[in-house]
Formats: sequence, C-alpha cells, structure tokens
Amino acid sequence: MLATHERRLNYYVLALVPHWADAEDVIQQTKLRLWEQFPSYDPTKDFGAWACTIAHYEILSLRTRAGRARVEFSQQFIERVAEAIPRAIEERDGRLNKLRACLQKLTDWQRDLLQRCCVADDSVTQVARELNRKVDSTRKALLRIRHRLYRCMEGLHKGERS
Amino acid sequence: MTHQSSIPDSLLDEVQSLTLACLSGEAPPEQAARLDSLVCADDDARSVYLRVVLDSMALRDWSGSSTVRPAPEPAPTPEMPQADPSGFFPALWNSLPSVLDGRTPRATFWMLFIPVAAVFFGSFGWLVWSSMPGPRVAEEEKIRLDVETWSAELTYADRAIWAGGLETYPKQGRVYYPGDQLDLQSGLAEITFNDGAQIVLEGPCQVTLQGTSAARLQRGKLAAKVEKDTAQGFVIDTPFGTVTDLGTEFGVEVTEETIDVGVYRGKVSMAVAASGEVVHLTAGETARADRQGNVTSGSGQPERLAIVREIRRPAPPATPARPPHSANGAIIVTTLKSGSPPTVSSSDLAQTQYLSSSGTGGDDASSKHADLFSGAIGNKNGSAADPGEVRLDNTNTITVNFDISTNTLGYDITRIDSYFGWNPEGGGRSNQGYEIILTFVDDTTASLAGPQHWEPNSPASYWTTVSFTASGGGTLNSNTVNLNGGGAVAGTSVLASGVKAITFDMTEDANAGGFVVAREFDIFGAPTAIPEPDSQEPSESNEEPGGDSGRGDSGQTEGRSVHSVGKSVRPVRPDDTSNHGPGGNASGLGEAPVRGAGLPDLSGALVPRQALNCGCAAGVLPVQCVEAKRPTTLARCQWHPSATPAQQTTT
Repeated sequence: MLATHERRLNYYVLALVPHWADAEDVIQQTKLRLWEQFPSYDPTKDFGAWACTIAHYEILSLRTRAGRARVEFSQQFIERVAEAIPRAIEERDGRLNKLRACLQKLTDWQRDLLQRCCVADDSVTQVARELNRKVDSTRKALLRIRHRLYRCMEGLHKGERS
Repeated sequence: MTHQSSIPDSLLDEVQSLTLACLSGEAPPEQAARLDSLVCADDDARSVYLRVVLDSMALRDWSGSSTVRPAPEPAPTPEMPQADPSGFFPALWNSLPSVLDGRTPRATFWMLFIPVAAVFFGSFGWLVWSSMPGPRVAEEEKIRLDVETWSAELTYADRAIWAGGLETYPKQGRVYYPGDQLDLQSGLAEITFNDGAQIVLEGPCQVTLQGTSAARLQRGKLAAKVEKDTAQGFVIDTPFGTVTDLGTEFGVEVTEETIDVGVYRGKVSMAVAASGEVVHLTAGETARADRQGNVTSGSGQPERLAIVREIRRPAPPATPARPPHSANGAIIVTTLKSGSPPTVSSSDLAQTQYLSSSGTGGDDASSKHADLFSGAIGNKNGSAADPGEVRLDNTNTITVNFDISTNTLGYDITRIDSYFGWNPEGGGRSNQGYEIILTFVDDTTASLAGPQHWEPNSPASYWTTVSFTASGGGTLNSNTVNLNGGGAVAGTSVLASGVKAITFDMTEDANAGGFVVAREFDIFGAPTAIPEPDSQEPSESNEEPGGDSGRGDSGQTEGRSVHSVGKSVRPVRPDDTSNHGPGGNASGLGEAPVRGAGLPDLSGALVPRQALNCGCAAGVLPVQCVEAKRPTTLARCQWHPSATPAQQTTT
C-alpha cells in the first residue's frame, strides 16, 4: 500500500513535470514537505492523495519561481494531465507486465542500448561516446527502440518493424 | 488499447519523441510547447503521453538498478543470521530526538516512509530491481560493444541460407559491422540499420554494409524501407548507380548488366554510375540503368519488379492460458565452469520435498537416478555400486517427483542448478544439453528449452554448472541464453508455479563422446501459496529474490556460493551460510544488521539530510551517507558495513 503511494507520487510529479531533473527536485522537495507537515496529516484520508496535493503545490511553486524550471508547461497542461493521471495509474500493472514481455522481444543490443540510455538524463551523449557512435544516430536508434517497445506494448504489429 | 489503435502512427511517434526529448531536457522550448498543445488538445495524445512517462519511469528503474546497486560487496543479505527485529526501530528512533522530538505522528510517518523509500531506492523507483537481473549479466556484452561499432542487425530471417565468411545460420539479432559482406544464397532476410532503415534481402543476393545507413548491393534484389525522420539519406550503392532515399520505400534489383529501381512510396534519387546523371523517381515509378549509363524509365508499376517488400511473420502460436501454475517464459541460464567440485545444496526441494525419481538409459541401475537429487555431488565413477553420477545420452530422461501430500498446490520453482562432470576419473563429459519438462499438479505439462552448454575442449578436471533463473527482462550476455521470449511472471523470480515433477530430457548436445555425466540437480523453490489478497509487504521488502544477484560470478573458480533461494523459501540454515557471506564480510560480522524479515532496508533510501547528519555523525544509524545526486535536502543511505542496529557508538 505504501509502496503504491510512493509510485503514485513519483508518477504524478513526472507526468506534470516531464523533465527528469526538475521532477526529481520536486519529488525531493515534496518528500521533505510531507515529512515536515506530517503532523497535520489526517490519517483518515488517503495518504497518496495528500502526498499528491502537496506535490501539486510544489509543482506550482516551481513554475512561479522565475527561471527555476527548465521546462515550462502551461497551466492547462497541468490541469488536463492531472485529471487523466488516475486512469493512467489504473493501467499501470498491466503495462509493466507488457513491458517486461516486450523487453524480451528486443534484441540483445537493443536492450543494451536502452538500458544504458535510460540510466540518467544525459545518458545518450555519454553512451554515444562510449560506443563511439554519433550522438544523433544513437538518439535515433534509441527512439526507434522506444517506438518499437511502445508498439509492442500496445499490441500493434507494426511495432515489429520500422 | 481499444482507442489506441485509432491513433495515427505519426501522432503516436511525435508524442513519444517529444515526450522523451522533454524528459531528457533536450527539447528546445518550441518542442515543449508543441507537446503541451498536443497533450492539451487531444485525448489520445494525452494518453500516449502518460504511457510514455510511465514506461520511462519503469525503464529508468530497470536500467538504473545496476548503477544504484552494483551488487554491493559488503551488503548483508537476507540469509544472515536472524537478530531481534525489535532492535532496529528503537535505534533509529532514539537517534533522532532532535528531528522527531518523540511525537507520534512523525514517528508513524518515519516508519511509513523508510520502507517505502527502501523498496524504491531511486526517486523514480518502479520495478523491483531484483526481478530484472538483466543489467548485471550485461557486462560482457558491453565490453564487446565498446570495442566495435555495429552497423545493423539481422531482425528476421525466413529460410535464409548464407554463404561467405559469416555464419551459415546467423541467429536473429546478430549484429553486423561496417564492411560485413552478406551473401544470402536463398531465402529472405530482414536487416535493420542502426539509423532506422530496413532492408529485405531476397537470395541470391550480395550486400556489403557500409555504415549505419548505407549498403552496397552487388547483386540481387532488395527492398528498402526508410521511415521519415529516422534515416533519410539512406544509400544503396550498386555497380551501376547509387540510389539515395528521400524518406521512402523502394526496391532495387541488380543483375549482371542493369539496375532496376522501383519506388513504392516517397521519392528516391539515383545517380547513374556511368554517366553521373541523376534520375529522380517518385512513388509508382520505375527506372532502369545499365552498365553504359543508358537510362530507361520503367514500363510499369514497381510491383512488376517482383521484389519482396516485407517478410511475413508467422502468426504467434496461441498460448493456452494456465492461470494457477504457469511457467515463466523468460528464463536466464547462466553457465559456469570450474576446476574444483562445485558446492551443491543439500537442502533444496529435491531433498526436502523429494518423493521419488526415475529415469531411463545410462549405464546405471534406475535406482541410481536418486543420486542426482541426493544433496551431494558424489565422487566416484559410474560403476553400479558407487553413488554420485549418472551417465546420460540424448535418449535419456531423468525425473524427480515432489511430495505434494502436504503442499497440494505444488511448488513454486525459483531456480534450477545442474552440475555435470566426470571427475576425477576421465574429466570432460561435462556438456549440458537438456530440455526441462514441468509437470503441474493437474498433470498438465510445459517444457522449457534447456541449456546448450558445450565445452568442446573441456580440461580434464572441469565441472560445469548451469543455473536457470527467472528474469523479467534485461540484457543477456554470451553466457546466457534467452530461451523463450514470452512474458514473465510479474514482479517475481518464479520460473514456474504449481509444479509437482520435473523431467530433464537430454538433447543432442548431451552426447559428448557418447555420454555425459550428470552429478546433481538442485531445485529451489517453495510450496505454491494460496494467493493472498495483499502480499506486497513481505515480497517487496525481502531482498534479492532469486538469490544469485552478484553472487553467481564469485563461485566461478571456487565452487559455488551457497544458494539463496526465492522470496518465500524457508531460510537457509546458518551452517550453510556461515562461510559463504557475499563479499566475504560475513565472517567477522556475525552481528551485522539484518535485513529482510520485515525490517526496513535503508540502503539507497532517500531520507532527510538532517536525520542522516545526526544519525551518521553519531554513528548510531546503521547507515552511512553517500552523496546525493545533487545538493538538496535529501541524501541517499547505504548500509554501514560495520554498524549494528543496537549499537550506540562505533568503535
């Protein structure tokens, strides 16, 4: 149950702040805030919802602090996405199962590249250097793998190709 | 999924590309704005976006598990001697008087928070790392990839037979490098270039790869498909002309004298070799150029060139649903060889739940098959009186039956180890080749392709060990074989559940010089449990299901470390673990902090820095500070190797 809250919080933040570094800051800030404000938490309420509410304020404050955010998204974006998140969370488990299955369908080098590139925000550049490849072509290869993975997970057969 | 399929590919790809660019911080403002407006305006785009974010989190955790946690040497493990669990929280609690000041709500939160953070040690934790051991086994592959730059891979082959210097039957996924010459004698092969272009070769056909987006077609037919935005500028060079793609799908045929080009979609240009003339072709057009540079526009549809544009995949075989006792489709086989007798388990299911065993063939009486499940490696040769070994060839099978009188649901199998070798007699005969047939409690069966572990020049004293473990994904190195590309059992390390018998059916590869010598099979697992409504807590807080993360390698030369087993398996006896602590720290630290058993694991957890400051500084927390990713208010924890839960000072 508690693990679920953590996942939900992380996902909530990343979906509203689609930028790894920003989102991580928000999450850390939120956790600290949660910890500070825990005495005011009403135990009869949903903990995860409470955490997300606090995260929401952190996100808004990230936006208002001038120049703080590295990527800016509109207020409308935040509202629309926030209301769609609960449904996305519902399909999470099924999606993770599919992800595991579809990772298996990748070839070894595709998985390897994916794994290297997903480690951190700036991995692609570094991975390209490690592999002695052009950054651009590495990025394209990565994108292609992600497209393939996505299509596989959606059961779209076109994902086998392209 | 229902509304998904209606999303145009272009939108799907665009949203995904934009999302990934934003996440990584590479998107310029206009791309972020584009994503913003797409997501705001379109429900489908929004749902794609949310899924991509979800996937990215999951993938990051999957990929990052190896770096966050590189099989730490001094980490205590779940099978460490059990200490009083109550000793932990008080220590944690007392160490933080200034921050917690004893108020119950905070205390509760603290206790809530830590286990959560421990399970998801990264900020973006998602998948339980240990269920996806891929990153750890990828080391060899990485080394190989580091030295060379691949160019393309074989993504599909249909009755393809190859000639020339490369393999006759390359496996799907084979990676090619610039300069590789592909000589397809017959059949069809699909090659996908790193930059995204894809070609279908129809034998006989000779192609030389020239990089990540170019190839030379010496002779034969190929069809190329280049998606827009991925690999434009893809070039097919031929003796009579050079075809450059401009975002398209086209076919080329080269004969002794001519080149034919047909365009199915988009545009291409062809530079005629002899004249230097450049011919532009669009969809539906064909052209022919010859050795002298004469160009004739085609007489009809490009389809008339009869080039195979796409290899049809056979429909995937329908997999029957077997809910209560399924076999995990994604299995990792790790093979080890060693010069000294491996240490085998004497407390695996093959001993604790042994009912009977049977087998065929070999030179031994059937009763000897029980020796393979005896819990001892045995040390004699194959004379009938001596226990310990069974000679097998590919006509033989060995079966072990488990006792299901008490555990009527059968067993969850988490790992299977097999030990072969003909030591100390002749040596060798250590090849392992078999298929695993699982019999479930309802008498249905499933088979798993087994290892093909071949040691052609096995030194006399070699033993081989093959380990099967379940995997939810990951990269496989050359010592591992991806057996079935099917779906894994989510979040578990269970190979199969509901099992009542296991049969090892020897395959062709088991015939090293007539027979191989099996010595022991270890089968790890636990009784299959009645599904519980909410079993999250015990399964996720327990560390290292599967048990071999970071330890399989260490057993390479000196026999194996003790096998720890899957999550719900009974604890390994202390005498088994005493001399096999991972990383070798266990011997001097009998009272090292205990994890598992429901205790929170702080390793990798993000905790408020001030808590760490007082805790670490005073030496009372069983953790040490490691630097946070960026200077913020939270820090990551790592188990302090010498700290104990109860101690108040470190010496």
